Amino acid sequence: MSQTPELVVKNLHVSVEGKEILKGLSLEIAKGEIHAIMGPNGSGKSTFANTLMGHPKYEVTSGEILFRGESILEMETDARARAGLFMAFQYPVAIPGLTFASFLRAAINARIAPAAGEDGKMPTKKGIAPKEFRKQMLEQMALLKMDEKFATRYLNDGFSGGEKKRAEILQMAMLKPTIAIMDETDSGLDIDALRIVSEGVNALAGPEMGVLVITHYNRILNYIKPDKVHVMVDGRIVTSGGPEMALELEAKGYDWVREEVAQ
Amino acid sequence: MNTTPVTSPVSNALAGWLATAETRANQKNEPAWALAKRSHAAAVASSLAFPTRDEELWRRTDFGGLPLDSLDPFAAVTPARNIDDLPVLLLTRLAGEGANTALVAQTDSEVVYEQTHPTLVKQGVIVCSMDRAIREHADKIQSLLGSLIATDYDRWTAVGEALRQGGAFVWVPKGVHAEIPVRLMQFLSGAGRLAAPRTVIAVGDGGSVTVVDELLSENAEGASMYLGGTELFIGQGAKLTFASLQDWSRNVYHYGNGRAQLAKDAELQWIQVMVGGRMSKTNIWFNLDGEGANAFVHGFMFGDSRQHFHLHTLQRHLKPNCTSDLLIKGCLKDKARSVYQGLIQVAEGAQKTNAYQANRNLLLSDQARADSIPGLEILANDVRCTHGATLGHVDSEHLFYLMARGLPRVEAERLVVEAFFEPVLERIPLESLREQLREEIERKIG
Repeated sequence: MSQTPELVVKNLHVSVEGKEILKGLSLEIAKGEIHAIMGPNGSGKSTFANTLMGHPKYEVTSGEILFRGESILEMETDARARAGLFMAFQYPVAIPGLTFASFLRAAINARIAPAAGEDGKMPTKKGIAPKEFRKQMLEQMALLKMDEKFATRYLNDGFSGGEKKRAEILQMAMLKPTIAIMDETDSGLDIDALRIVSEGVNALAGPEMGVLVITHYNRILNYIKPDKVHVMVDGRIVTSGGPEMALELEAKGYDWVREEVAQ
Repeated sequence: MNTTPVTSPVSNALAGWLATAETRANQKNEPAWALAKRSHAAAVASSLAFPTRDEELWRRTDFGGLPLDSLDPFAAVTPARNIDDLPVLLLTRLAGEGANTALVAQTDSEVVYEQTHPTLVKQGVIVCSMDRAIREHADKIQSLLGSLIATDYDRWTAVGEALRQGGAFVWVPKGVHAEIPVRLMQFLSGAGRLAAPRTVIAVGDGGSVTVVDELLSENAEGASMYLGGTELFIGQGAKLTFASLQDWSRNVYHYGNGRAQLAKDAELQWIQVMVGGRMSKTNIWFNLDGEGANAFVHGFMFGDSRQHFHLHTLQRHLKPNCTSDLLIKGCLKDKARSVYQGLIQVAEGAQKTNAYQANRNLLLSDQARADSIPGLEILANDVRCTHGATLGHVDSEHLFYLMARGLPRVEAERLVVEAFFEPVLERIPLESLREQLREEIERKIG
């Protein structure tokens, strides 16, 4: 039985400050699938991730992004997130003064009660009960081997590289997206952290969530097994294959793909 | 021939106030030493002119819009027989903890209620009105009152001292750690009021205390004014935590002088919050006058509509091995404006000084404005001094991150602004106060 893909990207062209970065990218991801996009630096991987989330810096000049059958190009970032898209950031921003727990609770409440008023404000004092929130958060934190103190620390402020990535996965676990994009989640992680983060992703990936892993190295793919691997060069997916392609890339590097494309 | 004498109504009003203040003090049998201070201040006030924009500290702040002749410093005040008689605004701030605190509450020109706490009495801590202190504790207050705030600092300061009405006295004996926080409250009941309280807090060697000073008022059509002075004395190895929370309604003009004197190894934690008032000018000086003294200052201003805030700080390093660390944050929306003027002075011989000064400003509208004027005057050669100022709008990457988690733009901005204030807010001593100020900030963000 073939499933309608949750995320459909058709011939996507994206420019940053007038310079074209994505040059006709197409991709389909269904719920329950794990896809990996691999590619050398500068190939446009992070541009793709940020474009999916609607970062204002990235201008879609042509092509289409359909999420659950509908175009999201006109949707603001927050609406995309509430619709079920999630991106684990390569460089999560630090916001001193905002505790991790109050941030996460606000994010959950934004999903539960997306009926913001005309002025765009969220109804306050509603949403998940503080006790229930705390229970869920502590459960997930335990799975990710995070100290309880995390909850009261300021968001990403003074977090180590590994702590930041775990915090991203914790958010993903709590927000339960339909499609999760992991933007270079493996960068800056030691093996232990990589394993914990990957286990977190594996635990969440399943019939209800599709995953797009964006990475430069295949290291993370030793832990997260993709159904499909796509190779991205110069703003396009140039070849796709099964998990074995990651090994091939590791053995041969990206040059053979470049050569193949050139031919 | 008919000629109309050319006199300013302001000068007339002022001359009348100074005379009345002296007469009333006489009627109250104010001791000669206190009367003498008052008379001296009146003479200085008469000899000076009001500061103008020609002066550096007044270049960006003009009280010209304040109708001085509409104010009455002597308007009648009804005393409170018990704590429940206090204005609702003050009771709300006390959040039901009134009975468990020491409190001096002033309405307009008079202290209307004072209570200490059995624990503090047992510890020998004095908490009372300035009038009572002058009557009953002259031995302690006489040498302190007016010793840090120079009478001739400017005309407003001299007028405030000459009119002195109310204020509080907190005195902690040597080696005593006051177990109960002290609350001071000033309330302005309506238009046309002028309050000129003088407060002195003295912590004996090795002692400690926490004092919260709150400024609140009833909103009214016409202007009111606060013309206050606070002098803090921190003995050897003593510690004072002092939070000044200015939350006036929009009709109030505020002129406040704060001064602190730190002895050897003394520690001062000063939290300065400014969110209310029409126009607000505050000068805070710290004298680090003993080796090893440390002063930490954290403050913020949050302005909306056409509010105007002016904060001047002076970190005076007079002795070696002292640290002062100051962080002032400003957030401005609509057409609000802030001015921060900060100076670090290091005296000759004050080696191994560590002095830091930072001013961070967040603008929420294109019509808001924040001026930051830092300065250094260093006469010693082995010091570490830094100062810096930043000015910016809400970071678009912060917004993107929060929106990527589903928070609508307005909500995301609200979180960023609240986060901006939080590191200062969390230093405010009482949880109930922190919570009320968080709500106040949330309302101001709108």
